[in-house]
Amino acid sequence: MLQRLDSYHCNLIGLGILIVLEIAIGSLVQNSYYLTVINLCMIFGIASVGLTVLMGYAGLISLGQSAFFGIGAYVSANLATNLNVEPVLALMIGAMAAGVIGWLIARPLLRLSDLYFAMASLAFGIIAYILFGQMRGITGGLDPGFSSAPFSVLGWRLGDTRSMYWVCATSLAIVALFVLNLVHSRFGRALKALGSSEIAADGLGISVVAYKAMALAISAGITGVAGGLFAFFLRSFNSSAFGFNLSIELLVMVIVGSVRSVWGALLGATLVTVLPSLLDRFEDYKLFAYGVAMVIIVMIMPEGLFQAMIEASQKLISRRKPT
Amino acid sequence: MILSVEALTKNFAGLVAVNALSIQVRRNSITALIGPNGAGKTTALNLITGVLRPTAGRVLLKGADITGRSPHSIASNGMTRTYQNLQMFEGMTVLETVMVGAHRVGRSTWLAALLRAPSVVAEEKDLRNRAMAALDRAGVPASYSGRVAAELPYGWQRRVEIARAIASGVDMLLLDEPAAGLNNQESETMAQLICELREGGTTVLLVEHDMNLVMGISDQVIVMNFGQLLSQGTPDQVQNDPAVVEAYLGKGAEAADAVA
Ligand SMILES: Nc1ncnc2c1ncn2[C@@H]1O[C@H](COP(=O)(O)OP(=O)(O)OP(=O)(O)O)[C@@H](O)[C@H]1O
Ligand SMILES: [Mg+2]
Repeated sequence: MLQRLDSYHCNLIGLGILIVLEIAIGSLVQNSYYLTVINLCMIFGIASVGLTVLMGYAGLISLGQSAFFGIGAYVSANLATNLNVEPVLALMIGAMAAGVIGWLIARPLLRLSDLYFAMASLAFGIIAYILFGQMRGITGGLDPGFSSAPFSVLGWRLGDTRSMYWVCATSLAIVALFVLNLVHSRFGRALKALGSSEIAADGLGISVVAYKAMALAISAGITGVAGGLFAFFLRSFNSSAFGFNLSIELLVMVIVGSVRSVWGALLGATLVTVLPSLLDRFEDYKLFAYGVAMVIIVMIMPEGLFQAMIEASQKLISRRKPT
Repeated sequence: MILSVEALTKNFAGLVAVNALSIQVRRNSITALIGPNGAGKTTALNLITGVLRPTAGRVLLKGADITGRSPHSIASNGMTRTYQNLQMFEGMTVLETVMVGAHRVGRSTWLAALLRAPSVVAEEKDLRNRAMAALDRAGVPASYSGRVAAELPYGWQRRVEIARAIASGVDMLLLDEPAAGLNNQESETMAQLICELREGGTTVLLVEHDMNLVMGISDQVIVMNFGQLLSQGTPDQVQNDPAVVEAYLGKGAEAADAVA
């Protein structure tokens, strides 16, 4: 029997390809500007994979992911910088903090319909942004911002761009594996089911609210990992990084890539991160050109870029081998 | 009695969709709930399964009061259903769809799933086997298991929905118009399937307009009209009840023929 492309085993092959690509890029790319862009692609890639769990599976739209990204960044950077916590541990605690807060806000927010949930998450993101700016004792606010200790493992400093490449690449591979495990499990199927028919899922014993809350918590936790990596990579940042723009960018990454696929999210994150620098020569028209490009992609590929590429290559293969 | 419904009532802003309805369902039987369009049959199923909260009345499942409880909590007491408007899970294969049915049999947590612990791998295998067994019971060929459920012909989707319900391992099954949209031959195999469910120890309460099917397989027939109980008894008793004939006559000669 033909293995379906979205089966667990096919996705593990995809993960293998990702790891090979990561190793190839890490060994071949020398230019530190390129490495910086690639690191950001991976960091936002992790965050958009987190949003995919929520949007592509549970069918919930969050416009407040910037809050979880920021919580991950501030919690892990503070722990590592001010309390000398081992950065790897700080990163995990930051993710957990974002996850727990996601779970806590899910309870009241999920009483709302899906549309109002999206709006309430937007409000949550904005409130978090204001708090990041105001709680200067912890965050440094907009000015002077935050200066983080470098990333390190067991005292081994990994603060430079090249080392951070490997840290981000490893984190991305682990997150991708975890998410693939999750979506190809009883838990993931339950999410997919309730994202499509809440009534039928409920009738089969799936507690819709509990599962949605868990989806938000997991999504927040993964986004928190991305935030922590962001803090350790940039080392010096201020609260302006965690505004509404970030939430929208993550949303665009996921939609452009294809909402229900880890690989689509990574593709979308890469495109949205790289495209603005490619459009640099247009200067004044940059934002406009960017907007137009996004609209065109969404219009001609409603299922997302990744899905469109899969379908195009399938067509190409079946044309070559007419049976 | 596996299921008793006592004076169940539902008001929709002035409209009494279900009015003091009482039903008794014996374990291991097939009960049909019939009535003209808009009689309140689907609403009654929604009240029994917790999709809607009743305005008044009680629902007892195996002696436990389940009135007003959520569908997922009622499912854990051993009752689930299918839907008049198919509720397929978008993009899922037949096998995955039916594995969702087996959800409540599983125990693994999200954390174990994240790490794909050995217990999770074993559970996946168990759920897969259960799903395949349910597909087999529902008469869906194993070769369909990899196809996208929502892309199958209508009749097969109805069976996949039944397989999904069977996989949950419940002993009380509510079917809302299982033969709607099926041709004569498909209706006959559906009737056979429902009889097999009863023989396998499942109690069935079904809503159906296909009178051949209803009268052929039911142990008990309940007739509703305007939200109220109109008649109940064996298929013979109900078919000879003047009140039933009259209710259906109002709907045209064809329906009357179907009953008579
Ligand atoms: N959610 C709702 N809000 C308001 N009115 C409703 C609602 N659901 C059903 N009704 C009304 O209640 C009455 C009973 O509807 P119901 O769907 O239970 O009928 P039915 O017996 O299942 O009919 P059919 O054979 O056509 O499926 C109808 O008049 C319908 O319009
Ligand atoms: Mg109905």
